[in-house]
Amino acid sequence: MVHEWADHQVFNLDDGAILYDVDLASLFRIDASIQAVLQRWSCQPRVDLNEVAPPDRAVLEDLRDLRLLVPAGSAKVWPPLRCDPTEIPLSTMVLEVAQDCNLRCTYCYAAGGAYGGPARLLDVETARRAARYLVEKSGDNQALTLVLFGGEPLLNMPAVKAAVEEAEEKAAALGKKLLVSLTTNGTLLDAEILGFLRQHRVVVSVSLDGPAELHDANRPDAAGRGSYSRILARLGGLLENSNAAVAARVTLTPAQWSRCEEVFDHLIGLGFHEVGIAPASPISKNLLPDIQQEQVLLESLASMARRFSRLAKEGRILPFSNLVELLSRLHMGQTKAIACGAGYGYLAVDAGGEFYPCHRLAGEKGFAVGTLATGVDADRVRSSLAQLTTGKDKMCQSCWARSLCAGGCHYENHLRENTLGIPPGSSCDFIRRWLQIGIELYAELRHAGADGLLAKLEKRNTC
Amino acid sequence: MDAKQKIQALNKKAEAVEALTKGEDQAVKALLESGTELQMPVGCTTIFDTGWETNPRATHPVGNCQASVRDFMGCAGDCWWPAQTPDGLTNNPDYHQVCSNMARDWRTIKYD
Amino acid sequence: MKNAKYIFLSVLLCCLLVPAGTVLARDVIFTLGYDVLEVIDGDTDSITDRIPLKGWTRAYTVLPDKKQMIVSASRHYLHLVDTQKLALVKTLDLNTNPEGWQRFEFGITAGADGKTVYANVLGRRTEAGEVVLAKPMLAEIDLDSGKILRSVEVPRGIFQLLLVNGGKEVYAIGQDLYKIDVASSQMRITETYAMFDKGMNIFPLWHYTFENNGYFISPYYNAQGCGMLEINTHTGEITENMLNSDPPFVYSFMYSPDRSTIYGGMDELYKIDVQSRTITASTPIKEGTNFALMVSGDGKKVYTGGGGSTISVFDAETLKLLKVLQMQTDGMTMARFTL
Repeated sequence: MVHEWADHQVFNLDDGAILYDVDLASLFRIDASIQAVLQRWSCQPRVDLNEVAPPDRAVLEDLRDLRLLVPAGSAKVWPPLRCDPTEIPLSTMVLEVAQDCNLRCTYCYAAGGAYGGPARLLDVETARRAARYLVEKSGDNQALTLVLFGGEPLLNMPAVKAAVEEAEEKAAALGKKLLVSLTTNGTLLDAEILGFLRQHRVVVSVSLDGPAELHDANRPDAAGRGSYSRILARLGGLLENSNAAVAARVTLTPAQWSRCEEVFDHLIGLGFHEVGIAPASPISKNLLPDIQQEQVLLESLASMARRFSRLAKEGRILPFSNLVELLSRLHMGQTKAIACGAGYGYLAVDAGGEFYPCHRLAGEKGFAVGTLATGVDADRVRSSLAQLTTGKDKMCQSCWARSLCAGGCHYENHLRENTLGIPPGSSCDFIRRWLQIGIELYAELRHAGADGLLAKLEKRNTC
Repeated sequence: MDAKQKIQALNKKAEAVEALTKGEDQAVKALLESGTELQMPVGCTTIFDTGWETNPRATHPVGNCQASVRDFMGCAGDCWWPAQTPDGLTNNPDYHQVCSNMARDWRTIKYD
Repeated sequence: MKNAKYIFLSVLLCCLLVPAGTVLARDVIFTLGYDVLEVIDGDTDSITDRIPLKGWTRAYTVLPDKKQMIVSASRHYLHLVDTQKLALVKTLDLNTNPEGWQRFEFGITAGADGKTVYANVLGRRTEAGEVVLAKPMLAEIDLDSGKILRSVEVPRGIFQLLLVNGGKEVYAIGQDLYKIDVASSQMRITETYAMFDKGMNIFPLWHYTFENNGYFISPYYNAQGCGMLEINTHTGEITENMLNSDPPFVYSFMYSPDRSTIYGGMDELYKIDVQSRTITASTPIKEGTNFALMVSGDGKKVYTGGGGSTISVFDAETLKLLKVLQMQTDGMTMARFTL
């Protein structure tokens, strides 16, 4: 029977290679002899196994068994079947309790917390309605997530309390589990708030960018003063008494990308359980990286990967969120048909009760998808995201990373293409190289026998 | 199959694909007639009854079992799949009176 | 009175003109179901009648008068059906016999004189608690009495019978094809046409030789692919030809009325050019697997049915799906009478 090759990518190693099936996200390690066979035959789009002489034939048959060769005409086409937003019940709601902030971070995509509109706080009644909406629209989902966000959510504790209490009550009544998380700039933490967070087992993420001078350069307050010292004074209470994980959320500008490791070490040193580093979203041209800066960031991430590997050999997980998250996806072989859950089980509600597919798109014109009063408009979800995804399927069809990336963050694409006028695909190379770092690290961990460690990552991923 | 050791599954997806293959292999070995050039599993006297054989063609469902609902009554009477369908020649000669339209009547499937 | 004469003449003229005008042949298609035959009007493609008869139907053979047919069911009922009156005339039961055999038919064909039917019969009975198997036989059964008039032992594995050469021979198709002389007083196998040793896999459970005016065709499969076994039942001539395309997976083949095209079907419907022996078109059958097909009398439509309870009607030229008919029961095959 005639077979054709399923899309795959080969990553060379010193001895042999990593073989990655693009549509299944299955990863194999192949030795040099298999790699040679693959090289001999993979340029042929169609292979008739009956016409292949041994010993190559046995190898190709094994590859066929592993779905790398499939019956001709049956190779998967991109995009895979995508679901209807109306068929996905809600699982996560990001609630913008404060469209306001006491800081003026230089890179803020929320334009100082107000998302380009008037500063306002979510009123308590609307907060409760939003919490009820999450539970009511959650269908059969047994685990729900409420994310308290802003601006700075601690500016509006009444709404935070109302939303959390309402959501907990309504979720419990239906036997559902509720996870609450909060992202804060950390400047307003006090004992009472800490008590509330502890009582409700809230998972807290503190936006802290590293050593004082770096952090203060990025995150001044409205008067232009740095915020580092204020946060540190309050951090102890949070870290010492937490009954849930506390993560540091870092944002770095392109000029700072060479300092990832330094930042990571500094924050771990402060006592954070986990650190995640994000490149600043290019809300303006000066935040757009050049090729050299991207290279620097990739090298920083590669360096973190090497550290991860060394620590793994001691049986410990380096708590660098970026890598932990990627490794867990690769471990499971998770594939994506769409880039994220925005609009598909994930909803952001702004301080006026208006719906957006996600918190980053909140406030962006053209992305409003409903209100608390009228509910989610599935057509608006489809059409607003389609603005960003239409026409890209062809690009993705020829990319090996498509099942891991599936087009990338909608907001990032929106900024680059719509705000900055850059043609689509400008992040693709970076994303591929980052994923390759993850794949190579994963293979190395496997090779070193870090199976127990990788098994721990399974819990991270509920796909 | 020692080439298998040279292709090592790394992640859980790869392990799952391997497990699928092992399972299929056992089933296929049991059914395969030696010398069959087309390398298709053989479940009945002839090769081309749809039913529970896997689909070797590039048509849907690729590699999977064709839906057997449309083959059920055709195979029930003459005892084509003795294990899966009522045998009309000996034990269940009037079976069709219970289920004459499988797609409609499957809820009432009942036979010993 | 003068007018009456002219009126009479003109009426007479019109009456004479009518037969020369366009009275279109009408197809009536019988689908063999479970405890029922369902009747489809070939003009409207709608179910117009149902003829209840006992058992799970399997095959049919048309009597020489082209009006009656025998439908076999549950492998032991032989139902005689009047296709014009749309009624069951009588039922013979192979299990009703003085020797107490439980008998099963696997292949029937009506005899040339319209009074008998040939059947390939297996039998079993219990004697002192033990099962005794009868040797497989070709039996000639009297339609009036249901009695076996004569029989001859045949090899196991026969699945289909064809009346050949004006009724002088019966071809029995199993692993090989056995030519059986039925003209002499003693029936006997005169020749075995080899198929098994040639690696031919053939399963001619469905054929439409009656509708194809005596031309039998069946797919077979060997190591090279798909072939066509054709038997001209008027002369007895057998030909084998390989299809020049990748093997289509089909349960049966049927000719178009002019025999320039062959249709085949199972999960897809295929159109094959006879001259070049290549597949010229195909379409997946969305309803799913079908056992049988039937080309309309004018060659314009192809019906696929049997297997499930739906029959799909296709345009024979474009293979475009025209209609899906919902039967009451699952089906086995179709028979077509064109009036």
